[in-house]
Amino acid sequence: MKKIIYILLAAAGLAACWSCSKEEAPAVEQGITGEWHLETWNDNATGEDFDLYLELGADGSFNSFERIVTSVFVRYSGTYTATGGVITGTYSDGELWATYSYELSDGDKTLTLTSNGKEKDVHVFSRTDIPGEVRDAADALTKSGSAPAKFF
Amino acid sequence: MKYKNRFLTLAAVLLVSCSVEPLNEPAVTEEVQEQMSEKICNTSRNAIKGTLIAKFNEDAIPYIEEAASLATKSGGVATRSGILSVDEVFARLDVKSFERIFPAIDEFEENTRAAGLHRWYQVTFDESQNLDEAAKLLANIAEISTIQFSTPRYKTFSGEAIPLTETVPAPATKGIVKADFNDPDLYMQWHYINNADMAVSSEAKVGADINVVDVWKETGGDNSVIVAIVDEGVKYTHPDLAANMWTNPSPSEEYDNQDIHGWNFVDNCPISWDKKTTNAYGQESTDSGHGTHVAGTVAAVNNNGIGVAGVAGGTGKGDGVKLMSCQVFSAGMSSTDVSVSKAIKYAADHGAVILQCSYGSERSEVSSPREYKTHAPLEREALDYFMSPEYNRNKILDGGVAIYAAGNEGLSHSNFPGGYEDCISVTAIAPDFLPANYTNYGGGCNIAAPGGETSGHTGGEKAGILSTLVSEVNGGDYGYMQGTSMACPHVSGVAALGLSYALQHDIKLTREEFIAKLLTSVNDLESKLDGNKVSVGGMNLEEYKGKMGTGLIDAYQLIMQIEGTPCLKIGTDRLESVSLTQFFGAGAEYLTYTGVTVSDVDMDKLSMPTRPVMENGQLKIRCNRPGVAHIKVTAIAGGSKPGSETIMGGMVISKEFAVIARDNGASNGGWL
Repeated sequence: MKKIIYILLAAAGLAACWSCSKEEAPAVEQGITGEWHLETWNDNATGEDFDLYLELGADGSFNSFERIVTSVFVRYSGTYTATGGVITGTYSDGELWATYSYELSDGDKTLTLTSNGKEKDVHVFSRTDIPGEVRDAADALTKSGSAPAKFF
Repeated sequence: MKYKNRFLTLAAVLLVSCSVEPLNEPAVTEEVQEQMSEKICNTSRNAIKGTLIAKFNEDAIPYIEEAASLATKSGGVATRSGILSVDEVFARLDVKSFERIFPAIDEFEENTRAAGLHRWYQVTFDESQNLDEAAKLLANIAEISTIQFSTPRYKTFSGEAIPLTETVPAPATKGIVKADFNDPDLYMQWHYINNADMAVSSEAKVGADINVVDVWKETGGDNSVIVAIVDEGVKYTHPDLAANMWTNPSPSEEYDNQDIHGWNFVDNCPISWDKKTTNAYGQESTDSGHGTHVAGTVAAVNNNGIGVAGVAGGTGKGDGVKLMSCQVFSAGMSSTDVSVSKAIKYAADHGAVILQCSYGSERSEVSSPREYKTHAPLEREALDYFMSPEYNRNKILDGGVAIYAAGNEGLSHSNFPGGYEDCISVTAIAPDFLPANYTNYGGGCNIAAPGGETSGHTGGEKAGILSTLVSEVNGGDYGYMQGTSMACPHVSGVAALGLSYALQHDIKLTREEFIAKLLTSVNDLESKLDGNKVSVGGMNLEEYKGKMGTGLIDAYQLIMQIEGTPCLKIGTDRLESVSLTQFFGAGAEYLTYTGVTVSDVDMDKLSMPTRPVMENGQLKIRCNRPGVAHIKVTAIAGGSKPGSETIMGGMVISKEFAVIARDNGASNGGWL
């Protein structure tokens, strides 16, 4: 009987800890949150060939709206952390981002992500509201990390 | 009775030949004879009796026009040219009429003259005259540069119209239609939505359709897009077509102000669709409903609660594309190069961007593009006018797009004009995702579409194409037909939908870009061409490999391609082999590629050690540095050789896209 009581107490303790950790503030530097538009990647201007908007929520969730390997914008979503100048994330299907160092500049209006990998991988974002038509187009083909929807 | 008729015919011929003075060989030198034969561009075999087509030199035109003006002012028909040498021959031929093929209409005359089409005249005389001798006489005249025998044109449909009798789904019908439209007979239009329905065919395959349903959620058409139906007259009062008929904003005096929805270029009168004639032998012939059927496939009114759906027939809000009836067949008779050329030019002058042509010339008349160009210059010049950015008055593309049926003789090449390298030629598939048993294939064929197969399937006629018909001649408003004639309007409809989408999203495209997108918006057909097709007596499918065009037209893919060109993402520091299905459709690996171009600057930017190449249908590329480069790949749409003067090949198309070389990024496609 005692054993059962100990087990129940231990379980209750674990549950309490788990709920505590759930309620912890997400590991996100508040200056980085908001809506961003990728202006350049490795000095290549976006727009005509490819385009990307990033929405970083204060609650640690993200949405990215990408027109890169598809003709129209596709939305990816998941969670991220951004502390101590390092940002990384996980797509909702469990796929991981690469790890980037980040830097805010121009009064937090410019965000620069640089890959910590061997190749040059520099992204310069500007703080920009994501256009409604981008959200609408992407919502028609919402992605959660699975293979691209019906394109070809 | 048969022999009596033959006797009467012979007697009539003898009588006529006795009553008309026979033409003698003109006395000419060898040099002149050579010039004459160069001027006569085709042969009299199968030519239409009692008429010749002549193209005059520019210098002669003022005299001819003055003589024509005098004749018409006096209320008569011109029978003389005002040029002595010409009129001497006309007198010998006892010419009954001499008139410009393309009428002088103020609004279009500047373009007509700039294109040189005002120099074409038709000469008519008694049918008993020897055509070859008449041609030689005219070819001997310095003021004439070209003499063409007028030749027939035929509808490219196979069999007959079978009226729709059922109005409720048969027991075996799955009845699964995922479209939002309420057209009650849409469930039997497997060519739009193929659910492998047993009521159509036990061999039917899911996806053997034009994949249009999701496109209809985005667009059903646009009133600004005009499709000219060069065919029998379209029944413009049909309840499922009337709302989508083009209405001429300014009818011409030349047509007695009666060219409201188009014109009948056969009888030079308003459009008809239920005409009957009886020939000298008492045989009756009648319109078949062909033009109305074709028109319904392009744009029967959608979501109107009646009948069938059309590919670009709108969404029920008056937003379908517009159908212009350019009538070149009447009363079951064949057409002529003169009628179709007039119709083609009319379409260009009145703003049609798509020329829907389910007709062709006789199969043995020409066998190469060069022969077509030299043998049928009148029609070719009219087509060039239609496709020209200078003359076609549509406001959507820089020139029109001419789409033709490949033909139904089971030949290993397209009929003409479809085989002309600037025209799109359409082959036909059945609901089993395989070539239809009648379709032409091979040289000159560019793309496939559902054309139906009304025999050899468990559903009988239901394996045909269901569309609008003419109740007066077909016994019902709707019914089935089969043929490349029926495949062709699917491509025209999809093209019209694509242009509607581009217009509505303010996307500008050149004609060349649009054709490249259209011909690469396809599902794979090639991988299905193994073994035999058992349903129709064991067709050897191997024979069709590489010969049905780029693949089966796919409306959804076209919309995606019009929306934008995706990038090709590859890794760095390794040789990548990439399939180009995103750019050349699902049949990409089977296409013949003729070149890959990348600038030296871009090669240096991405540190490419060698130029990218296409091998076995895949792009081989290595980039040693991350970045973005632009690459252009050229392929042949239809067949393995590009069309040339002597070869009936495919259309050369190019796609330009960005290559992003980068190792980072998630395997699910996400950038970060």
